[in-house]
Amino acid sequence: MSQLTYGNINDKVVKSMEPPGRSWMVSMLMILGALSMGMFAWAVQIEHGLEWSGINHPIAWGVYITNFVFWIGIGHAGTLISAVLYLVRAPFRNSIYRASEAMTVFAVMTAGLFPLIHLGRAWYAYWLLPYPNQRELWINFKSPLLWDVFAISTYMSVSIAFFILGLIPDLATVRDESKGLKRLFYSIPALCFRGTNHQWLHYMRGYLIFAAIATPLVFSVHSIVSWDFAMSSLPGWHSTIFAPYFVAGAIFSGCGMVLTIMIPLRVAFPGFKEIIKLKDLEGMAKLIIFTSLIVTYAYAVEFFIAYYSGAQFERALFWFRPFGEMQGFFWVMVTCNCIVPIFLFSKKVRTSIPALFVISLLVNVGMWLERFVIVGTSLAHEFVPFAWGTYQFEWVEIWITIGSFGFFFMWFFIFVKIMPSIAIAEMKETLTPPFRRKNDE
Amino acid sequence: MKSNISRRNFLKMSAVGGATLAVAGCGSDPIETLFPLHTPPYGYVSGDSIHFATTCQECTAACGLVIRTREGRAIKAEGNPDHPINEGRICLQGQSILQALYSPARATYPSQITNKKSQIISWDKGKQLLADKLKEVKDKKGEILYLGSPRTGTFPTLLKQWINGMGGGTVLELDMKPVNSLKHANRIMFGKQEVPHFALDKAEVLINFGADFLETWLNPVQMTKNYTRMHKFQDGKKGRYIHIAPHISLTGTNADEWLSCPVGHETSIALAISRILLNKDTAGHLTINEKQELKELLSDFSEEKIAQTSGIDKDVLIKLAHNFDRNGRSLAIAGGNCNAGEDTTLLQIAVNILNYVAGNIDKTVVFGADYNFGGANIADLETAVKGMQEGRYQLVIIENVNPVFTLPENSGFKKALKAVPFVVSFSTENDETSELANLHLPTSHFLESWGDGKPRDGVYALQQPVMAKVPAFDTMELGNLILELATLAGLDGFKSKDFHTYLKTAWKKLHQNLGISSPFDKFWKQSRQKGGYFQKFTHSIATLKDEVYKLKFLQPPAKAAGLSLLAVNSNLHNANAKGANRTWLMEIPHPVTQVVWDSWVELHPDTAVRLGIRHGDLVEITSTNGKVNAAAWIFYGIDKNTVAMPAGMGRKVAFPNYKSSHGRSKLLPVVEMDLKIEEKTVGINVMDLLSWRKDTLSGDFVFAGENVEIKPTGEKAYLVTMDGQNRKDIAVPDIEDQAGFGDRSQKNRGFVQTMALGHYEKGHEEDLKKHHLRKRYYTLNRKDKTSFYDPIDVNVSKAVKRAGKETPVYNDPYKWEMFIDLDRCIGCSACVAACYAENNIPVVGKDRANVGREMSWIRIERYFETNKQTGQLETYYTPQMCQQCDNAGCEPVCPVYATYQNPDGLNAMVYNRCVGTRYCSNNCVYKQRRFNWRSYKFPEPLQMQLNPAVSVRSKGVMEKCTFCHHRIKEIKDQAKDKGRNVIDGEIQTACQQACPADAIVFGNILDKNSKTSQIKKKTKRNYKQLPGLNFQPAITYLKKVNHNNRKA
Repeated sequence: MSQLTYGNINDKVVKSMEPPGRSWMVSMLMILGALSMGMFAWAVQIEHGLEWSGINHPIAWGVYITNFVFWIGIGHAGTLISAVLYLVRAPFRNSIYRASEAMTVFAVMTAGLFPLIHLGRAWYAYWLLPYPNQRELWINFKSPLLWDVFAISTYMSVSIAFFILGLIPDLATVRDESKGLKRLFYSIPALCFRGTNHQWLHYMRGYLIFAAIATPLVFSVHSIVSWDFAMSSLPGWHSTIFAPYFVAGAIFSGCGMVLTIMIPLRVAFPGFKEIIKLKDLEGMAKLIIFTSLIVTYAYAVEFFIAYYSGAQFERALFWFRPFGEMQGFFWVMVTCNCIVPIFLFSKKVRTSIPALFVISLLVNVGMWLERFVIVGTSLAHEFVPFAWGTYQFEWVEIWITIGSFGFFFMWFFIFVKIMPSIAIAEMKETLTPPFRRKNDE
Repeated sequence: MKSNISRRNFLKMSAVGGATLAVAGCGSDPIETLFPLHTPPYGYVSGDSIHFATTCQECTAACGLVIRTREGRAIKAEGNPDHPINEGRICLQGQSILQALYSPARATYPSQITNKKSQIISWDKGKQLLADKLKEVKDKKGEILYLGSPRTGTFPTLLKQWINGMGGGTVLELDMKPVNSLKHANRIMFGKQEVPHFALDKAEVLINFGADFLETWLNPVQMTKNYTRMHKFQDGKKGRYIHIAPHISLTGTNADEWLSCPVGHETSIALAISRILLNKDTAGHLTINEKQELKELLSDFSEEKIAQTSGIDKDVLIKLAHNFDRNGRSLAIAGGNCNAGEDTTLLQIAVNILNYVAGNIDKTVVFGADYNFGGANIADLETAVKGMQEGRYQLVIIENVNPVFTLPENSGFKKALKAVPFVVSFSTENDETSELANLHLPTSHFLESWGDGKPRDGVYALQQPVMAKVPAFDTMELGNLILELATLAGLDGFKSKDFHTYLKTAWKKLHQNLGISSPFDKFWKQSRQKGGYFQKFTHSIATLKDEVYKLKFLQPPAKAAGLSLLAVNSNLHNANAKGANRTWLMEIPHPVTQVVWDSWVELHPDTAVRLGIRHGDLVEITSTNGKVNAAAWIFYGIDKNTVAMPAGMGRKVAFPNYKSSHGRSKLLPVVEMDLKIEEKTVGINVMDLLSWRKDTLSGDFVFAGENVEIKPTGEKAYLVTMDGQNRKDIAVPDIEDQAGFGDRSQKNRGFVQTMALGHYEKGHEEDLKKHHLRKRYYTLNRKDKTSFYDPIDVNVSKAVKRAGKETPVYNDPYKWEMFIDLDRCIGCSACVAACYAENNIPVVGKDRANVGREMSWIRIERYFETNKQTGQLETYYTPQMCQQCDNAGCEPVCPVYATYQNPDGLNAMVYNRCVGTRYCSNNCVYKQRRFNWRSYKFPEPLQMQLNPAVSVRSKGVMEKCTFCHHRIKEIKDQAKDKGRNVIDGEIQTACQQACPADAIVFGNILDKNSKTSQIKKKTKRNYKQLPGLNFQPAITYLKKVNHNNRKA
């Protein structure tokens, strides 16, 4: 293994931005296929109404809201890694934060689609915005759905700004490494960054401030998403634990997704193997263990409170989840979210790339199911026994879900080809400057 | 209701009535295209509804109707409040007549069928063809067979005269709910061949041997009204109803006690009870001779013996008899399909004896009313079928009956019909019989025609057209057709130019006979306004005839080897199968089983376990006549050796071919390109299993006791029930519940609350503990065993008080509230049909109902509760609709204010503003909101029934019960015009208007004198559902009152 130097970091990252090869093209074709199928499905849904989704009475929120919360959750890891871990100076962050940040932006973009897809009349989605109009129609600020609109748009704008800010020095590097039109293309977002001491000083201050602004948003956005549920009156939704529980869950799923993306990225670009070190992945694995334990604790507390409160509706629901008709979802969820991450306590598992990848996939599945369990089973088993129901997946929602992955990966695939997917400048910071002895030597 | 036909409306009614008459009555033009209000009548205001009184001809009960019309189209059927029989209410089927009027199945043109090819012809040609044929038959001295629906009043006289003029023939009225056995029994017993008046309201104890009197038997609306009067809780008392039958049915589920007996044992049980009473020496009104003779007649029916054969305990029988002995304030009845065996007449006589011994005759069984319930007996029909085969009848005319479908295959009717040289159908709809006719001359629907009826002595009901003929249907009134055919065939004595004139002449005669002082014109006008002329009937005293002593009562049948099949009627489907192609009646769940769009077979759990059948399995039912597959519905409410299937299903229904992914891969796209109306068969015709048998004495058709075999097919049936608990075996299965019946109780959630009779003074306390919430043992203080906390109900009420209400923004003197008396509700679902009709609720079909997409704004929730004392299951019903909460959950969560609290205290719903987030539905704890999963289609011409006052919702919009907001608005506006407030009772919601049990009361709670305020002030039975959630619903339920804390 060659020693990382300023030069070869540049080379490796710039190499990843070479014109795409065959495997990229084939993958992109599949991705676009999935996306177009999802778009077709949505078109059918708009034409015929929501009946091709499995959403029904009483389960009036189904896969779409599940997807929404899932993608918002995914969108958590990036900002957490780039902002929170930056503030706490966690060393394993440097190699992975750029890709995770990109993931955040794209995940939030994907998530933002779902409230629209889920609307009965998607063409009137702009009514959710407070825009001045002659009919003096206004929005209802009491509704948690509206809080969502603001929380997500704020989070999205800050994430994008933070992402772009972090990119500046690297874009300048890429600019310097390229010629012709490409150089022009990168010179614009690079904002004349030339790496002067003065520029670095201001840049680092700005970055720190942004990190400080983004940090509370990491916690607020998912808290507010959780209030979509917690503010209602339903057993299984109406719970004060939801905000921290959702935030932990979001970080959990986000870290899972980071691993799901980083591990193939290392394979796709062999040069990255030396940059994204095993111990960085291990750091993510440790985060997964930590958040998994929080999530497990939250599950346990939910059940305990259901018992302890004596509220019969809560009790009935928390009996229904593990033992009712929809129990399958619950048990797979518990397996993926509570049991599988325990294996990460073993150093052997934690440092095995295939094991990490499989576990990260299972965490994703588990977290999707967690949202589905929360949305679906609570609505299936409410107050009126006569109006209990069940859920059947239908083709439109399945294809829209697959299409949403297509949408996400389309952006990500474009990203790895046009932007440095590893933070060049920050990687260089970790190196010992040439001609200087390391402190400990 | 009175206010609905105010004087002003009467004037309008008569004005528009006259105009309609001018258009509808002339009948000379072959096609009458409807140009509504081309020249509007004087005083007509667009947007105002106009009401017409007329008479329902769905069945012979001939209830009075008031039809609301808007812009010249009938949009809603309601009961006529002036009518003495149905008193302003109509049944489910009556509500659905509008779907018959605008039925996609209606015949469009006169047609001639030659070589199985239908050819449209003109009316002139059609009439001429038939007239020629009639002449030919007359010349050949052939006979005519006229098979028509049962009618009373003027038309039968005309028809008789006409048939005689045409050279003679037979007129038969076909009704699959005949009451000949009842009439026959009364003739044998009292020498009166009539259906008497059953004064249920005067009885304290009612014993019913299986008559489905709350569903289809006699006039179910009148019966329900009277039953409620007897059985409602008032002044600490209520009547008692005991149901003795092999099958519980909707009627039986309302009983206080159900005694299950095998099929055919009812007669012996009735006789045994009579015998106990006779031996009791209280029957003082009987002469010594009568007593002696009756004792001798009943000597074989000792309670010990009957207890052994029927399986009902001897002590129970004795107790029952003692209870029944009320000196004329009790009543026993029998009849309907459940009792329609080969000895129905004997059962009716046995019931008569029981009534006679208990002194009920002339008190609760009143003769002289002479109710006209039609239906020829099977013996006459048999003769007719024979005559058709032997060539006695040269011409068969079939009018609005469907014998090919409703008679079993082995009646030979279909074969015989093919043997007839010329068959003419006068039916309004295309049906299985009209398909076989040589000539189809479609007659108008009764809402477009003149006519009259005489449901009982002293009730002269007038039937007037409520609108011009439905455009697109080229039809002719039946009366006019008959008269014109007479002219064309050259008959004398048919001078009237049309049936309207004929009817008027007949009523002139009636006017004279009744000796009414006012001039005829006034009488005629008044009759049209009120729906007829109504008098009380004169009682006639009944005395026992000796003939009865000569009867021989058979011992109950020995236990049969196989299972007995009952083909039961319900208020949704009956053996006449008339409503079986109306989508409302398919979509509204059957109240007991909650099954939609299908037939089913009811089995006792023990029987099911014995046969290896689980709930929802597809089973094969075999009789000597055929074999069908149906879904098993495991139900405790049936005798172990009996199975029941609904009658009158299996017809074709026109319905949009909405695509469905049911049974397909969930990954393959299902795309709907075009939407067509297709016909599909719904359910199975139980007649395919029945034999052509008749009651030996009266000749009524036998519906009960066909021997069948049942075996599982190994498949699961595609059975859709609206009962959420068992939609997919959701309920936690009981280990002992091998039949898979599941737990369908309300899980102690207090939706239906009950109290025992006599515990009234104690109020709620006891019941709350028992029914509502459990005690929290883990908060007990170990030392003195007291709880750390308040009892939960106290805790809840404190918390609710603390949380308070959102400040109301009322600027009206109105706050609408509703009271639903569960003690009165019988679960008949007429309110559901009324809501469908009133609020343009689309019908979604089986596939969509299966995945929870039904649109009904009001549902009857049915719960089977286990009685803790007896261990028996008890059935409870509760109508559930939007509770119009003060602290509604739906309102704050809507991001666009599409739903909000309006100044009347209602949860208003603005369809145009709704974007469809469906959060309101999630946050509605009563689960009363409905979402438009697609834009539903109303098959033409059913769209004409749509109420213009209520918008038709499109895809993506949430909807729910509005407390009939448009009705409130209409009356409020009218009151405002008059410069006053709305008077209590002026506004009636559609469900309230329809309720034959008067269970729903609606009104302004801010008005101190309104009925709602009065109930709120006085009752101690009131409770709200889910009070702990502090939603403050505007609907208050009144508790069900049970005798001894138990119920059937």
